[in-house]
Order: sequence, then C-alpha cells, then structure tokens
Amino acid sequence: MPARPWLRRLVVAQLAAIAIVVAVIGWSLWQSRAAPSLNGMLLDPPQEIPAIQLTGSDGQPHTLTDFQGKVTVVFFGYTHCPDVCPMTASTMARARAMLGNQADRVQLVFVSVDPERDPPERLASYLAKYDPTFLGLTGDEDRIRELATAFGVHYAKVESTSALGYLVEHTSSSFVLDTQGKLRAILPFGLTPEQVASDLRALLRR
Amino acid sequence: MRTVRDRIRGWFVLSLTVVLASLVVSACGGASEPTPTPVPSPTPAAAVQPSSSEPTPTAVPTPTPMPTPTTASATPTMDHGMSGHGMGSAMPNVGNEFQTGTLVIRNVWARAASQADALSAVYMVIENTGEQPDRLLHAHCDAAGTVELHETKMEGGVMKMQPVDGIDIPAKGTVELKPGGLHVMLIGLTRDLNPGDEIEVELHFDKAGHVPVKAVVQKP
Repeated sequence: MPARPWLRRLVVAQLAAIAIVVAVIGWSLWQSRAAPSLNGMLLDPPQEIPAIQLTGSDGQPHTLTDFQGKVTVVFFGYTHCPDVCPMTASTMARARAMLGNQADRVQLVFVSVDPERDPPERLASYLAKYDPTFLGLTGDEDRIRELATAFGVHYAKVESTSALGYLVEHTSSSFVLDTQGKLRAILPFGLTPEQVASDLRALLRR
Repeated sequence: MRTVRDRIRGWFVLSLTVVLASLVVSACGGASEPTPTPVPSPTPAAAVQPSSSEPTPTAVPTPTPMPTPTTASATPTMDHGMSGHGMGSAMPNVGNEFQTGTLVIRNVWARAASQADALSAVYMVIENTGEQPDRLLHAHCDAAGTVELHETKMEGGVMKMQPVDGIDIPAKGTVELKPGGLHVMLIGLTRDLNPGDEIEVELHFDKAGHVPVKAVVQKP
C-alpha cells in the first residue's frame, strides 16, 4: 500500500477530534435543556413539602399542596414589616403580571410568621394591593413553625424600642414549588421582577 | 496514478481540517454565549440532601447573603443613586429634588399603604456636598403618628430590622435610603397613602436643622 502512515494517522486523529467536539456540543445542549439556568437556585431533585393546613386570607383552609398544576411562589413575612416584605410582594406580583396569559398558572402565597398580629382579614387587605389573587396563610403558631422549618426558614420575635412593639426577623428568600407541588427553586431576596419572571417561565416550561 | 490519489487524499485532509476548525470555533462561540451553567450556585446546592423522600428536610439552604444593600458608597461619584444593585426596576424614580445648604435630597418616595395597614416607609437619596459631616437625627410626618429611622440588615439571608438613633451623612458623601436598607418608617398612619399622593416629611439634621421635603407615594 502506497499510503503514507502519518497521513492515515492524521486522518484518524482528526476524525476522533471531530467526534469529541460533536459529543461536547451535544452534551452541553442536552444539559441546557435538562436544567434551565435560573437566577435563583434550582433544587435537584425537588423536595417534598409537608401538607400543613393553615387558614387563608380568604377565610378558607389551605395547604401548599393545593395548587398542583400551578407553579407556586411562597415566601414568609409579616404585615408589620414595611420594608423587605412589601418589596418581595411587589417583586412577585410584578413578575406574575409579566407572564401574560401564563399568569393564571402561577399562585403567589405569603405565609405570616406573625399570626398574632396577622389575622386573615389583615392579610387580605395587605396583599390585595399587590395582586388580587395573592393568598395569605396564617393560623396556628405551631403549624406555621412546622411549615417554616420544612422550608429551612428561620424566624424569631425580636423585642425593640420601636413603637411597633416587637419585630420579627425572618429569612427573606422566596420558594418556588413546581407543578407537582414540590420545592423546586429558591429565589434570594433582591432579584428583579424580570429575573423572577424568567425563572417562573423556565419552571412552567418543565 | 499516485499523484492523483495523493492529491485526493490531500484535499480530504484539508477539508477535514476545515471542518474540525469550524466545529471548534462554533463550539467555543456557542458555549460562551448562552452559558448553560447547570447548577447556579455551587455551594448551597451541596447542602441539599438528595434524599427527598423524607418529609422532614430541616436544612434547606438559605441562599448566601445578598450584597447587603445598606448605605451607598460614600463617594460623590454616584450621581444617580438608583443604579444597579439588582433592584433597579423595582425602585421607583420620582425625580424630585430638595436642596438646603450643602445637602441635596432627591428621589423622595413613600410606599402606598392604607390606614388599616398602619405602616409605610419613606426612601430617598441624601447627598452631602459640604466639607462637614451631618447626621439625620429624626423625622416627622403629618400622615403618621410616629416616625422612626430603621435599618434592615441581611445576615445570612435573614432579614433583621432595627431602629437606629441616627443616620450619618459623611462629608462629600451620599447615603441612600432604600428597600432592604435604611428607611424612614411611618407608624400609625392617620390616612390612606394612595399612589400619586404627596406627603410632607420634615427631616431633622444635626447641622442642617429642619429640612421639609415632599415624598411622592408610589404603588407598592
């Protein structure tokens, strides 16, 4: 055979290199489809959330697992918090509004960590300003504590010199449950409505 | 014969090289553009226990602290205090400005709230163009029974709010009162604050004395 062996080797090496490049491109495409890149933090695998019944701002009993088929955004706060909680409520409401006709597939939920001062009626009037479909949850302190613990949410009453009386320190992140009612993503405080809307779109697509 | 075969082979090798080069280029370009980082933040994700069957997952990682949005940098270069920090679009810009001596106070706004809510907060940017530091001691507002200065601090993802005695305004510096940081808190609203309303707020500074400003009420 007259073929020069180095030429053959070169051809083989090039074919191998092409195969590798194709494999890498394919893998990265597959990865990007399998795991959407979020502004928040994706939990993989998603986590189960206990079905703890609380009282809704509509006066009806609710658990967070009631909303399967929808993507649910949950955060913990209290209505005497005029700074971070309104900010979060506003961000979530704006993000939901940005989803257009997909907005119906997103449920916003605010869980009070101050049930003593947050009866359902107060939650209702507080949340309606942001989005009329916003659901507040309040009720038995022990159940709220159990639910917060399941989310890894810390909260504690803090005595203060403020005319507000006590304040409540609490975790400021929001949580996204997927359409199966499982905890799928954590959104840190400070994301813009656009960033949250983009995450919700990604989670609705799954 | 031989030369023809060699030539064919030469073209084959050349074309393979071109294909390989273009693939590499496209791979690099394609990979750098969409950046499909599969798991966003690596550290807290590691803390998530993969056994999701257990319904008592106590330690969901609270995402690592935000870049604590407290006082703005003390450099007078911040002409438009509302830039960046990831909260830009949720932060209204009402475009008002009040000046007294060396203090320039701008973008004064309050969050809409009903009297039943009882609470609201006022935010603004205070710039000190002078050589002397000043201090915001307290504030007064006719729409609220009590007005306090508060600061929200993020510690490991936990929001802690506390009253503060005063807010220092450094010489040649700018302090930003904004959600998630310093704010003037209105407690015991005497009326509804509707979007578009203007409320009078009197700021009391250590050196500049009483400075009346008007806050524009913004949709929450």
